[in-house]
Amino acid sequence: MTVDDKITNSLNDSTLKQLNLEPPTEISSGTPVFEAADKMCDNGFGCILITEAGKLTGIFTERDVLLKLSIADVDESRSVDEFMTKDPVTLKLSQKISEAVNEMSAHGYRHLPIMDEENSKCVGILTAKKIIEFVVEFLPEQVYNLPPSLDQSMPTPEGG
Amino acid sequence: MKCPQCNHENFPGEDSCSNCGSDLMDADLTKPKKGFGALILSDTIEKLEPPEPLIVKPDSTVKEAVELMIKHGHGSVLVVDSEELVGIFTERDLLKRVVRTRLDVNTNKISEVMTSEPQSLSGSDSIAYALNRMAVHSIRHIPIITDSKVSGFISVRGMLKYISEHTLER
Repeated sequence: MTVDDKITNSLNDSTLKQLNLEPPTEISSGTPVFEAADKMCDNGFGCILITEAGKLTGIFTERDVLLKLSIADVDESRSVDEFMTKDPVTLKLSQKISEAVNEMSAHGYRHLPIMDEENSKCVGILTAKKIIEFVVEFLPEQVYNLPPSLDQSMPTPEGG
Repeated sequence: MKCPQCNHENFPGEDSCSNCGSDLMDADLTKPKKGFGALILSDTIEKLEPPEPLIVKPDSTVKEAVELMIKHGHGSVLVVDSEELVGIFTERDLLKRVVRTRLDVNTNKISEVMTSEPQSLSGSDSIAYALNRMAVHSIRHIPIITDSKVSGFISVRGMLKYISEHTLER
């Protein structure tokens, strides 16, 4: 079996459960939008989920911040509900990684909430980066052992 | 590592075979010759067709940069000073350094909130380099420099598309 087949098979056969996704950050419906943005800033996912009585009602992402919050004159007291994407597309933990890849690349989603088997609770956020990391695990020789790029600029002098 | 001459099993990383003394340097380069593993070494970043980047000057206001990002639907803008790349400003920077701090977007300059001297790659580098930056260094947007000029940028999204085209659709 070549590396190629292994990657394809793993994407087709492995479920999202095998990615060991970290649990998402959730806030209640009605939370002030700036509080939501601050929480998102702290969690490092680039998105935050909004729930009402434990049920997922929306997703608020960095893109929403860019489009609706960054340069608009928004009152601090307004609710995140007005700015979130309602009823986001979700997948279940038992679905295959390839289904998620197709969903993300077809629609350009950068964050996919992943639900438990009963579809009642979000158990993780799938990002494009997570999938790239999964694929790269099969290619350690090619990706981890690289000589420096000739044109690469180093942000800080080494050993400085 | 197996010696190609005498089949003696050597410790990984040995320069020469401890049994027959033949050179193992080439044997060490067990690079794949086909498949996706080979493709990411032979395909250059140009294959990803890096989109034209959005560019602002260091003294542009944050608002000007953000307006450009909104207009074009991009998650990043490159900051260029007389043809030299000096910074990148992403949605993440916007969240952390502008929205979080309630910064005045009308008066503050992009140079104050950008990420300085971002790691860039050349259009002629292999895709493996871009994967390395994204997976190992957690960089989501990489500026691409071709002939010492900023020529494009690549994102995790573009990379996901490339991966799915070459591993899933067949």
